Amino acid sequence: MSVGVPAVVRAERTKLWTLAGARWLLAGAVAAQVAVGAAVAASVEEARAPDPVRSSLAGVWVAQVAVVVLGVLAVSSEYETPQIRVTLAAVPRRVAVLAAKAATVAALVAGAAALGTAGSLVAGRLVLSGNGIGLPLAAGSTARAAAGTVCYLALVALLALGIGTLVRDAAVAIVVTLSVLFLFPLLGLVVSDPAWQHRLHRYAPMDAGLAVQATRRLGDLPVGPWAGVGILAAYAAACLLTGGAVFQARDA
Amino acid sequence: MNFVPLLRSELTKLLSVRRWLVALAAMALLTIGFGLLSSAGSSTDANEQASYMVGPSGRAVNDQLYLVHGPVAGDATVTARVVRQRASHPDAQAGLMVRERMASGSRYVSIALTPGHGVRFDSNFGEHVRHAGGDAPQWLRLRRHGPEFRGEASADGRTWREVGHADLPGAGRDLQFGLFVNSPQRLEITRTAGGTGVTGFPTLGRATFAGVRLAPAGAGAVREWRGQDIPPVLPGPSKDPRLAGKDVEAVPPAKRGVSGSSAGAVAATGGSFTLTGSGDIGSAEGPDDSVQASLFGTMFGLMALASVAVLFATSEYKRHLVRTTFAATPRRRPVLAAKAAVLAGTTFALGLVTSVAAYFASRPTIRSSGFTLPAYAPTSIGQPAVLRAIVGNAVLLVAFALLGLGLGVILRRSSAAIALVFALAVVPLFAGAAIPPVSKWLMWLTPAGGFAIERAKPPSAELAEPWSQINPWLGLGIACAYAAVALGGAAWLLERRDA
Repeated sequence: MSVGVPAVVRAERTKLWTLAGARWLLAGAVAAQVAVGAAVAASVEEARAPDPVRSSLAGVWVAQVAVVVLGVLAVSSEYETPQIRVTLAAVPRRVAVLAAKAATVAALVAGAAALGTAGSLVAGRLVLSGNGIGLPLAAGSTARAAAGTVCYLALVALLALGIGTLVRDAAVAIVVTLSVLFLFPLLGLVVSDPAWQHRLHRYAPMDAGLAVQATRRLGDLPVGPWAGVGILAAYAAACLLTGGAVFQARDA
Repeated sequence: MNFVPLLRSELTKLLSVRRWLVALAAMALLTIGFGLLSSAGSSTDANEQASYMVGPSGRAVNDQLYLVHGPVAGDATVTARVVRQRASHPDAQAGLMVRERMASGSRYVSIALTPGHGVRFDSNFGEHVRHAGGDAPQWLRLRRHGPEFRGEASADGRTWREVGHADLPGAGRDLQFGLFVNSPQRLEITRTAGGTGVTGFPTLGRATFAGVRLAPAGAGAVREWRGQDIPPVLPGPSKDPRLAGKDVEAVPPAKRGVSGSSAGAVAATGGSFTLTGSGDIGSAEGPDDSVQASLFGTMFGLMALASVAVLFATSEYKRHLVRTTFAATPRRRPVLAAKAAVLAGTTFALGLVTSVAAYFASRPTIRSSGFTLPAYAPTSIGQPAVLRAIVGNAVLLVAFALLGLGLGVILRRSSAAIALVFALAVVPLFAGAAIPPVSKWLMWLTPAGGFAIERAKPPSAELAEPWSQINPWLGLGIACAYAAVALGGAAWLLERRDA
């Protein structure tokens, strides 16, 4: 007996959507993205206006914490109960299970991220216009930053899913994913050697992935906007592939 | 039920999970390893770039002032009243000084009035700094008795209070006594995402002294005193005429630590002296902190520790062990207290050993990275500030562990609790570095400010690290307050809620 791809995706969607806390996490991600983005936009001074679009989209720093938890729980929750055995009994092709999970998580997070990104841009525009700073919603660079932010959050969810598949334990997976995202940019703060700093900003998944949010002085970026998203995608793909290989090889 | 068996049972729970022991070991290794990595990456070329004046202890110093002075033989007392002082800079000085030599970097003792910080006593570039309240007009007195010097201040010239005292061992019979004025550069600091820019603008101090007396009569004569810039200003183009005698708002920026001339002047009328001068006296060491670099790995080790702390609480719920625990000990708060005590004790012991190890392990790397004399004074574990950073780091780890435990009991889900610890402890560091206007507030409002305790140097706004801006004790206090609130909330919920 074989189960069709649509059915597998539907099953994963049902599991994810009914996961305790999933809706809270998504709502939290959207709320955090908009609220933090508006707060940061409010702190922008006209004289030193760095980048109104990037400031308005800064809520992604907090929103990604919720996204990471969701990406990890999408797989680790199955291991907390014997659910994973039921899943694999119904769909013995494990690659299909993981692919369906990845598609579902990415779609769900991208939907929430689109909502949060649109909300942050509108909120940022309102807040910034109060300070006399314009935010061009229709500009190409704004569109790139917005689309890039949605891609970023979806890729972060996939990275978390890959690490979650690899280590299975929610606590460990969350710690590992968040450390990979946050701690390397922080290391860039104390490392004063310029060559090392450049390397850290170029190849750290968060710094590289968020370069796409810049709309001004693109020449100063350590990595091109879409190239940075590509670097993050490479991390996510590597984690998913490793996770998938291990998932395939070991007992459930 | 007695508390000791509770402690023993909680200790057994903590030590019997192999994964947690692995995570605790990982905390130690991550802390030390990333400390080494950040030490290696924190190279400085300060010693090659700048030509430093070197003070008596071999450290880089600033020694810039305008001095009206003369030789004084043997024990003597010099007294003067600072009638008024221009508020050119909060740390501008106008006061009395005794120097061994006129060359830069000579040993000295000084007492001076400042516009922002009262009366300041100092010797040898920060060896014995003491502050006391007071503003202009203010009487100041500097007394020599053999190698010992006492600085005193008085509001009326009759009742004196000692501000500080210091020794110049082996000082000769003849020393230079005098009046001095200086005023440090005004620093303009711009914070950008991931960096800071520092620009210095010279300021010109100005103060009027009256009632200048030297006793005993045979020691010397004030009327023979002459004004002199330290370091001497070379005649010619290096002397900036715009600096002499008027307010300077925007002169070309000079680099910190190497700014040259004080370009001062003196006008004496009817027993009163009006001095102008600029510059700074004190350590010229930069604010970057090698102790902080050694302990930086704590941020990485912290995450391993936080997961153990959270799981120490949540695993009881996951496996329903908590029902057994509460069946054995129906009073729940002592159980939480025992858990907290065991976790705090273990974390403090491990954190202290790890911090000491991280400090010593990174010393050779720190030295080879360029943190050497004269630009950077060597640190040693015996210095109070270094000890504070190391022990404070262990306390910070305890605070984060207890925060994790409290949130674990409150939320009962490890994923949510760990994400929240991370959001509170690490996200503000990153957001603070990336969003300059809110960085200080983020440090004041979140436990991430606790990382300020890892610095052995005073707070500085010149660095990109957001936590370096706030007071170390304040930062640690905030982190401990978060832990206390989380534990308090956990204790409250534990009694009200079903297990």
